[in-house]
Amino acid sequence: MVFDEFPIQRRSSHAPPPNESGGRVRLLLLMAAVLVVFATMSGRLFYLQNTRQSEFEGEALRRSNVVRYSAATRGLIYDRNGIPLVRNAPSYQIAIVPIRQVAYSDDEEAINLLTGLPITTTTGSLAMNDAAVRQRIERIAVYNRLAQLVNQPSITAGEIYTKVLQARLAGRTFEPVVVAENVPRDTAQIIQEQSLLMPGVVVQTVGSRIYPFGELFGAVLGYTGKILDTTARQYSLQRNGANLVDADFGSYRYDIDNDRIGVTGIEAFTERELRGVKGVRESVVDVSFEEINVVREVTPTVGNNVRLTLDLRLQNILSETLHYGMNESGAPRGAVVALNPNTGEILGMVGFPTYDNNIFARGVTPDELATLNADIHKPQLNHATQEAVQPGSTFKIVSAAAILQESSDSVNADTMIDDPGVFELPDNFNPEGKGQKFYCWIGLRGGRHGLQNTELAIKNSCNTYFRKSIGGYKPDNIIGVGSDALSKWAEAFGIGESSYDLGVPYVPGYPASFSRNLQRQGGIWTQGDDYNIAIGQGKLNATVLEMANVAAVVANGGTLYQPQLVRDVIDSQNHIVHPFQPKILRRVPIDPANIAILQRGMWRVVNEDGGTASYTASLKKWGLEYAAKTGTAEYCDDLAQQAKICPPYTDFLPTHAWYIAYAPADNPQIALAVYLYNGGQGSATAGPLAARILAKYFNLQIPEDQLPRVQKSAQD
Amino acid sequence: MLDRRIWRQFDWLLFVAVVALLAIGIVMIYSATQRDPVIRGLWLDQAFTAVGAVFLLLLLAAFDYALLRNFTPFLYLLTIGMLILVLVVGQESFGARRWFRLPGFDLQPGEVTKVLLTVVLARFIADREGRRPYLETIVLSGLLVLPCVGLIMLQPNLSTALTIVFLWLAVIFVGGLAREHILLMGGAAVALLLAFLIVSRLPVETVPTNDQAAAAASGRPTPTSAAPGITATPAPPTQGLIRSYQLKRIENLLFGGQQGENYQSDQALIALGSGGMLGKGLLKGTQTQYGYFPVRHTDFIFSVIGEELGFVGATICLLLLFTVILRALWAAYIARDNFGRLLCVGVAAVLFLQTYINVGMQVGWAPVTGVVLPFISYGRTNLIVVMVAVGIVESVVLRHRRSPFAA
Repeated sequence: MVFDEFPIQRRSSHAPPPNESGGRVRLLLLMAAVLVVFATMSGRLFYLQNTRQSEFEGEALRRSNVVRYSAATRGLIYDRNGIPLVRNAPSYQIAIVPIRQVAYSDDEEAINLLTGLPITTTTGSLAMNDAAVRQRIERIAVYNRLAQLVNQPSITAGEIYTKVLQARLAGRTFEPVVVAENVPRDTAQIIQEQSLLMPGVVVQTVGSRIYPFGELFGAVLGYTGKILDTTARQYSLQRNGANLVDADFGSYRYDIDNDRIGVTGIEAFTERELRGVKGVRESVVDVSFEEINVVREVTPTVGNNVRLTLDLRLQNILSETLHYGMNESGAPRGAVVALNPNTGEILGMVGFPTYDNNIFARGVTPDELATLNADIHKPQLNHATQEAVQPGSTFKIVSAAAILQESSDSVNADTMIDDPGVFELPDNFNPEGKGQKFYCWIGLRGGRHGLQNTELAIKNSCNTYFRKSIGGYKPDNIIGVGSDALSKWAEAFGIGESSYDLGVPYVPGYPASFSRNLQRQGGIWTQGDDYNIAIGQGKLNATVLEMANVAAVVANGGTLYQPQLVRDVIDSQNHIVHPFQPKILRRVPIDPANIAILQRGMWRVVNEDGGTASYTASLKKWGLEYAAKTGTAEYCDDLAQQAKICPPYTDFLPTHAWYIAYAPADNPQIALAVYLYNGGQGSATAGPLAARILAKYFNLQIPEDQLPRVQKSAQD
Repeated sequence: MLDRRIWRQFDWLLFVAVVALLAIGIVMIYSATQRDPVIRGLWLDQAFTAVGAVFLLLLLAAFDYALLRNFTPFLYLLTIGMLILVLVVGQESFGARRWFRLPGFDLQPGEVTKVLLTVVLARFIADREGRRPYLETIVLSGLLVLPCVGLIMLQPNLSTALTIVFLWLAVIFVGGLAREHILLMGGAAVALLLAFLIVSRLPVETVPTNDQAAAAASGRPTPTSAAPGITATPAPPTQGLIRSYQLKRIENLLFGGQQGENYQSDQALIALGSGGMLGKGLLKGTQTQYGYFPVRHTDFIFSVIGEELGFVGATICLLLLFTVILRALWAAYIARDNFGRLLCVGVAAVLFLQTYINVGMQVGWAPVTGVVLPFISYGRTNLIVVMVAVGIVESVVLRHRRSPFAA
């Protein structure tokens, strides 16, 4: 080589370095040190790649393989004739998956666009710490942009930051954190399109429901919504994207944070049917959540459809007529229940005031909730099933049944009892003094019913007859049936029944009696109390649904059916999965002859001169003969006291108007109970209201001006 | 002929190890970038550079290293010049100026400094061999190194500065450091460490919000993260010789960083650990292929190897790197003169520290810094630098017999 001839090289090659041997030892030391370091590195590798391999493998799998569930299309709910009462409409939410968020983005353009800051780099090595700064800029830029796009006042970058930070602090980095809900479709689409620019942001759809009839079915259908914390425990937990055990793949599970379930009403009652089976899909994704390939997949199964027993046409009739009746009578609350007396199907059920379930389905605002809660007439209660009040004279049907069945020498079907219009009960503590006076309604107007038997007493709604037969009356030598026997019969007719599998919330009534009262309150029970419950007053109460069932029992000859709202369940191929089956709760042990007396009595109420509802007999002219019982229940609750409509401010107590009926009288197809809170006289308000309902339900061609009118006052 | 005879001395083991590392690097760069359309072609770049660099290596081997002595003042001035120039006209990225953008080439003066300074230091100390007191040599050589370290810290680039300090220590150690000086320097090191401990516990300028960001990323609260700062403050300040995040890094280096402090290194660690004994297979590493950690083809290529080729593949890489460093030290051992010996020691020191910092960062020992793995990582400046360095070692090996005529 020519280079070797250079003198400079030769010069240095002569003198041996003075510390040569020392230098060599040190070189050997260095070699040994290098060996040790490399051996340690290799050992560390072994520790990481062998000892801790499964841990890291799990971590890698958690990132690359993502399990996502897709909600099944929720089944629909129909009326009995197949008219849909609900519509599925997806609602969009924006979520952030924290673990995806910090993803390093190679796309400079994107970052510049987001931050407005030009950032330059090369494809070469990058100082990692600087990248950490950049990640934070990116994240905050994403929040700003997201808040801008969503454009809802409550959603700010700060809010999003806080939500995501909380999830991070709680260690939930793999699950989407929902940062905005009910985002309009267009906005969701824009965010979806820009999601590549915003690492970690995902758009999710949530099954949401629209109820086209709103208030008409609100209380029955209920609504869907988030799983409440209080109920969460009853649903098996599965968070989206969580580690998945093979055996669980495709199983029926809930995602507590994101799933929507039936919260109340039929939506909750038939949740299992409507829900369907979720689809599940395990796929390999890259860092920006882009799907690379699908590992395995189970497609969702559509939920079953539920057909209700309710009839949309009848429901509309009930609603319109009840509105009319409440307007005319001034009643602030009211309810109607219509049953099929031969099956227990609830054909119609309306209670006012009520609420539009759509506001809950889309997420109730605090203002809306405050308005609902502030209403003293409690729109959130189903007044047909959740309001138990004194049923008044409609209860005399039960009293009559008790008198007939507990027949004794003293009182039986043929016993004639005198109603002088008013009678006195001697004061036990002061036999010489003035006794307490008990008026029949006719007595208040100076009249009297005279001698009455059971059937006549039903027709005339004779208070005196029922008081004396149930509570007894010494001067007439009448030994009463007694409150315990009456209570037993009230129970037999379904008052106070709490075993119904109804599907909507309900409360049982209270069939009061001496023994019950003793048990319940240890309270005082007097003969006066017997006289009160005999005519459906006093400590007794019942719901509208229960009173409708009383009418139904009379109509069908003595069978107490469980009222039902779900007719059948149909799958997506229109096969009936669960056909309708009437559920007989019990045969009320009442003799056919006695049932016949009750039926005749109720027929005479309408169809004989002098019957308390005889002026609605006009329906007969148009082809419908029906049977009924009026009721006017005195009350004085907190509201009435506040409104000062009770004595001593007034002479008389305010009254609820009641009416029970079934039609046609000879072949009952429908049993009704109508209730108007503070509605005046049952015969003047609830009665005509029921008659109008029947006229429309049976398509009687009665001209509008000839329909029975709801009046402000009439006789009871 | 002379050339024939000296080529018989050529260290084939060293050469083959280097070529094997280059080949592994090209394959792994391909695997790490093939799914990213922007950088998909980089393996080809690397392959061309590698071929050129092999020729460069052979050329350097043929060139008598002794000639380098003549250029040392020029090389030193060149180094300082480049380091000053890069601070003035270098490309800025995240507050650091580390490279020039040349046509088709990014030149990192910091990388070049490593090899140039090796030559300068070797010449300086070799020339002063036998002179007493050696302490004077230490101080004077330290004065040579100091401006380079200072300029590099100004970029800032802590890891390169550390590499150069280490290079200096290795060269003076072999160059004849007296025992008492070793003790002295050991004492100084301990004092530095204590000083660092005190400084790092002091409230430093609240520089980049990294600590907060890292804490947010790892899910731990920080004392200062009360109000979410919505408007970001991106640029770290550019004054001050040492920054709080650098202190943090050194602290992590010394006491071990906690997992979760850095998203990238966590992801890389997962990649590496999940590879197991035999790896997931080339092109089949999920962390690598689906982009879960960045700069896979440069800083984090060892994690790619760990994930796709497993413990076996990673250990083979380490073994090859060990071979290269050991052969460089062996070349120092047999070198015919002190200049050659110190050249080889410097090269070994640079390669060793670079390997250690890079691998250490990926096995969770060292903090994350922009140090690449020699021969394997993508990066042309570094590749050429290390190949030139190996060329110099081969040149020393070729001429290790004291007199060419004595053979």
